Order: sequence, then C-alpha cells, then structure tokens
Amino acid sequence: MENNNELEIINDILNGNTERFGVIAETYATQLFRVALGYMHSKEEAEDIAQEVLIKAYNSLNTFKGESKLSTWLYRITVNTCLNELNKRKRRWLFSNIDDLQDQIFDNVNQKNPEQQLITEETNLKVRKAIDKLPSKQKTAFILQRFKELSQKEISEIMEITEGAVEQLLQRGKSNLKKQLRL
Amino acid sequence: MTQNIKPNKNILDNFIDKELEIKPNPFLAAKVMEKIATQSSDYLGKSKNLETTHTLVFKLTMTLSAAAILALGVFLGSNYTYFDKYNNQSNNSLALNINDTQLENLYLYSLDE
Repeated sequence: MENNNELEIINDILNGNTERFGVIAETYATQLFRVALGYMHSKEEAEDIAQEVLIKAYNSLNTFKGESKLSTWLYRITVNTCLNELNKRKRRWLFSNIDDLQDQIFDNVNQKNPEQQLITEETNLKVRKAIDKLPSKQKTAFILQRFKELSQKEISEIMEITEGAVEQLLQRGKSNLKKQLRL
Repeated sequence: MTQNIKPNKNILDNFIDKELEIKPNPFLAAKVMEKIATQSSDYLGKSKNLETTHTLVFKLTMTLSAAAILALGVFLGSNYTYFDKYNNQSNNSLALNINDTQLENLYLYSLDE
C-alpha cells in the first residue's frame, strides 16, 4: 500500500468512514501475525496480539502523524505489545511451564511416531528457549529480520536506532543463538 | 556421522520455516472489524446514556433552583413583615438599649478653651 493512499484512508477513517479500516486490517493482519509469532511461538496467541494491535491502532489513529510509514508504526506497536506480554508472562512462568509440559505430553500421545515427535519437540523447545533468552533488543532485531524479512533500514526505523546499531544487534543475537544451540 | 551433524546446523532455519508455515485465521481481519464495530456501538450507547444523564441533571438543577428562589422570596417577605411589626411595637425599647459609654467625650477637645 502506498504512503499517500494510506494517508487518504486514514483521513477517511478519521472523518467517520470507519469501515475503511478494513483495508488496513486486511493488508496488515497476516504481517503483524508473523511478527507476533516470532515472539509468542503460538498461533492463537499471535492472532490475539495481531488483533489487539489493530484495535489499538484504530483507537489511536488520530495520533499517527504520517511522519513514518503506517507499517513501521504498526510493527512498533506489535513489538511493544509482544514485549509487554512476555514481561507479564515472566511473573507467571511456573504456571505456563506446567501448561506447556501438559500440552507436550498430550500432543505426543496423539502422534503416530512418538519417539520422532519427541525429538522434534525437544529441538523446537531448545530453539524457542534460545530465542526467548536473547536480550529484548537483539530478539526484536532478529525476529524482524528472520520472521518478516525486513531490511536493516526498516528495522532501524521501527526500533528507532541507527542501521549500524541494528547490524550489531543482529550479529550479537546470532552469535548468542549459536552459543546456546552449540552450532 | 555427517547425517547427524547436518540437520543440527539448520535447526534454527528449520524452526523458523516451520513457524512461518503457520497461517493465521483467514477471518482475522474480519474479527478485528467486528470488534471495532461492537466497540463503536458500545461507545455510542455510552455517550447516549451520558447525554440523557446530563439532560436529567440539568432539568433537576433548574427545577431545584426555581424552587429555592421561590422559598427564599417567601422567607424574606415573611421576615420583612415580622420585622416591620416588631419595629412598630418596640421601637422605643430598642432606643433605650443603646450603650454610649464607649463614645469619646467631646469635652476632651475643648480642654484648652
């Protein structure tokens, strides 16, 4: 979606034509879902985050000044929402760990090849934990690059840092992941 | 041996590819629009209720003010009548009660003369 077109749609919405927000929702729902998935690793939770972000964006559309791209603004809201959610989750980590364990046990029972499934689950859990353990800025840069394939310039705009800083974060993130996964 | 090492090198890529295969609910955008519509109607409902409450409070204030003004008028009117009667009846006794001990004596100014 072009920048001028986006601004036109936003003006329409602010003038009362709220149904026009459907165009924005259709365009960005999947993209925001992908970013959220990088943090949450769960379809349902990523959908909830994408939904929450779009509603937040709709409610604060009058604060969008058009200085950045709409996508940049939406990705920034998504990153902040995900980081807030993960911080909240840290407080109730014990319960979520028990839930995860239960889910895994029941999932494995339903598989045709439990041994293979267990190995895959173990590997996935290892990677998830390695990504989750990254410091938040490294994690954000890594997710935006790998899950959304955004350029360093776009990432720098979303994170409001220089491109050089993004490159550093990406390098550190990758080396941290390699260490944790012993690649 | 190499077969065991090779997949390990790609576990990160495999994981990301697998996660990217997950597709969101195709009605995600529609769900968002539905929530926004509900939210807007809730907001409109709330503002209508607020408007009704404001009108009611305004009407009540106006009625109470009018009643208060009437009561004050009646009260002042009846008090005035009573005071008038009192004046007529005990005007002299009131004059006798004036205490002039604190008044400055005029002769103090005329000592030199």
